[in-house]
Amino acid sequence: MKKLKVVLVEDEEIVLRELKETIDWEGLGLEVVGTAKDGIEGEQMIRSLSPDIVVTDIKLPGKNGLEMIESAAVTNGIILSGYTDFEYTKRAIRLGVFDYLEKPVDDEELEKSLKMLAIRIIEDEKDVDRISDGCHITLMEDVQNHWIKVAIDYMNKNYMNQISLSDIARETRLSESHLSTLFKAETGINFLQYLNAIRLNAALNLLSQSTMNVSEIARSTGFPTPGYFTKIFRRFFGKTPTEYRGQ
Amino acid sequence: MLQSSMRRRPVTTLSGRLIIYFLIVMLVPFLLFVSYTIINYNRGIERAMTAQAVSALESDAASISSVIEEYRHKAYTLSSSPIITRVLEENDPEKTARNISSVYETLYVTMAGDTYKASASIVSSTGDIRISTHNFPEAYDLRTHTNDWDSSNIITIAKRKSGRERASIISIEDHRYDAGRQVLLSILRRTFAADGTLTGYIIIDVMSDAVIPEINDSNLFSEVVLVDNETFSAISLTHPQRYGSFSEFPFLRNDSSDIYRAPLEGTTLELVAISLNPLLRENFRTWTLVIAVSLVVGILISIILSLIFSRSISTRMRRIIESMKRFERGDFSIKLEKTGIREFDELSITFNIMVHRIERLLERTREEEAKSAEAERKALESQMNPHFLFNTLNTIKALAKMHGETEIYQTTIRLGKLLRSSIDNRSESATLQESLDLVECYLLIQKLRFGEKLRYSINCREDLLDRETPKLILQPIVENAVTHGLSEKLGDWNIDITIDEKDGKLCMSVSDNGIGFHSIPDMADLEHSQHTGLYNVYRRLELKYGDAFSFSISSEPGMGAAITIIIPMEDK
Repeated sequence: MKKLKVVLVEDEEIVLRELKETIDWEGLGLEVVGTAKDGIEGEQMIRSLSPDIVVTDIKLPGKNGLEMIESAAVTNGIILSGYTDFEYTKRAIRLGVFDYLEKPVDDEELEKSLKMLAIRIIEDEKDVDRISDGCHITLMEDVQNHWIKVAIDYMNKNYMNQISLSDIARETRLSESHLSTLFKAETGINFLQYLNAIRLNAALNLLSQSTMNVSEIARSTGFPTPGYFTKIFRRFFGKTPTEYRGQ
Repeated sequence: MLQSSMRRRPVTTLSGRLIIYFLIVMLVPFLLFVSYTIINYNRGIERAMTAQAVSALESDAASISSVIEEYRHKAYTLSSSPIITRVLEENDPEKTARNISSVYETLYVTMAGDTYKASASIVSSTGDIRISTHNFPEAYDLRTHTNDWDSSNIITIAKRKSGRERASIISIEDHRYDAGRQVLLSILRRTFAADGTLTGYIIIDVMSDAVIPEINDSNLFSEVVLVDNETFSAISLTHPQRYGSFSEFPFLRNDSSDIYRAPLEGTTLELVAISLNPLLRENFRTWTLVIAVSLVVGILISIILSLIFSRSISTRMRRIIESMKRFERGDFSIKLEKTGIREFDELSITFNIMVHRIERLLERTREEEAKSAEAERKALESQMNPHFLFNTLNTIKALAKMHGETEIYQTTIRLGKLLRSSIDNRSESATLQESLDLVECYLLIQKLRFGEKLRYSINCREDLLDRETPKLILQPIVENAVTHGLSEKLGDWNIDITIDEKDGKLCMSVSDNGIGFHSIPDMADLEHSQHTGLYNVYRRLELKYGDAFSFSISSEPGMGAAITIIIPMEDK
């Protein structure tokens, strides 16, 4: 089985070494493909290596961890932070960061989190293969559960805006964890994947029927940045939006 | 819509309002009274007065007529008396002297003792015979005045009339005084000889006393006047000194409704009276004036009273307002004195109490502010940058792990968790699971220090673990037990933490086998004791639950202590 690629970004030498050397990456099915000590270096590394997972500190020289994640369009990130700052956590959620761990980091918790993330990534890939035929995504829309119907309805209406699981939880009056499980059970894929699929379907339409460029399409379909759009597009269809339009 | 319902009320002063009320109280009965009087006066009194005046004057006229008739008859009797006609015909004083006693007898008998009411005089045409029941009036002495110089003399009047007339002549021209009595009217009869020549005159002078007592009995008239419409002369019967032509009595010329007339039958005389109505009306006018004056006085008094009253209120009010303004500017020494008006005194008392309360409240607030400023200063002094702390702990942890120092590694992580939970202000509550993890972190760190000597047990029903409770409740209690209960004690240290549900409430108890409390403290003691951790927990629960929780301490000195908290169960 192929190992998922991990990039670590942390400015403290000792901490970086500790992470790299004492976490049982093998056992988690992961491989650290690169480490960086500042935000700029980290971003370049992420662009060149396209890792599956990025583990990063927030406070970094050059560019902070969240900015780095955003500009490099990281889809699966874990934040390690000395800060408990509501603004940071809010922004992290918006960028789809998988977990936010506070220093001193309990390595057991980190490993648990990495393990869950790895499982999700693999499942997501399977899901993508299942619902995408390379040029179109088929979504299960005919669900039985009323609340999931409400949730899908809400997503279809609001995908062009920034929406998160907590918005839908508020809309359906379900707890986030319950909603998440129920969603997966009803639709076969997780909430974020489903939202991405809706956005991508909309983007496919725009790509073939409008002259809008990639940035405009990304903005009007609700992706945080064109980078994310391209990245997720490629994950689903194996090519960039520009290549798709070229065909 | 809104604006129409908000009708503006005019702003008035207290004195203005009082004046209006006073005026209403004063004017309403007055107007009712006046209108009643006017209506009544116009309709009834005047009509009744008129009827009464008419009948009174008629009866006056009748009585005068009867007096005149009586003396006319007496004049006739005298003129037909043989002795008197003979004496006058003979016109010889010597012969007369012989018969004088029978002449006098005839005169007195005829006048029948009425001599104080009237006098009878006879005079021959030459004036040689002159006899009277009283002193013979000089005016009738024909020797001294044969001419017509005295137009008021009845003989002169008789001479002017046709010489053959036998009928009586009545005149009211003469107003002589005779022995202190005034002549009102005179009745003259001429006597003739058998051949028809004038022989002399018989004159009866009726004194005003004969008539006046009868006149204006009812006092309805201000003046009653006897008028001769032939000679246009008049005499007042009510004020006999007034007499003369009509010009003496201007009211005779006008034709007012207040003038009443009654002609005397068989004469040219007429009785004219002026009623008291004008006087009454005059009275009424005076009366109106009095009322008007009293009204003005009343208005003045009410204005003055209103001003005095409103001033007495407004000065007190102003004093209160001034005090309030001073109070507003921060002068708390203000105290309102008694004013002598109960309502104001109540206001003053309430105000004083309010000032006192606010003063105390402000004092307390200032004290609290000072305290919290002090606390903040202390906090700032002792503050350490938490990020530095957490990053350092993270580095220590990394080092420990790389060097295989498991205990250091774990202690660092636990310490980090404990510290973080105490500075984390994102949420006020935590699940029991989180709270108990924290307690365990704390106890594990302490165990590291004290080893096997410290033993603990945590018992919690599985289904309660996800209940939300206020955070940092259990850990400070456990910490209190360790630092105050166990640290001074020899031998084994045990701490038991039990969480259970009791009657739908959450019951948390922490017991130890430490030295216990010397005496069970109450919460006020706790605040100032070394157990501030316990007091803080109590205070936070009080703020959150009010009375709906219990916090109890049980202890036996030397044997340990147990702290039990019962709080409402929160929803999942």
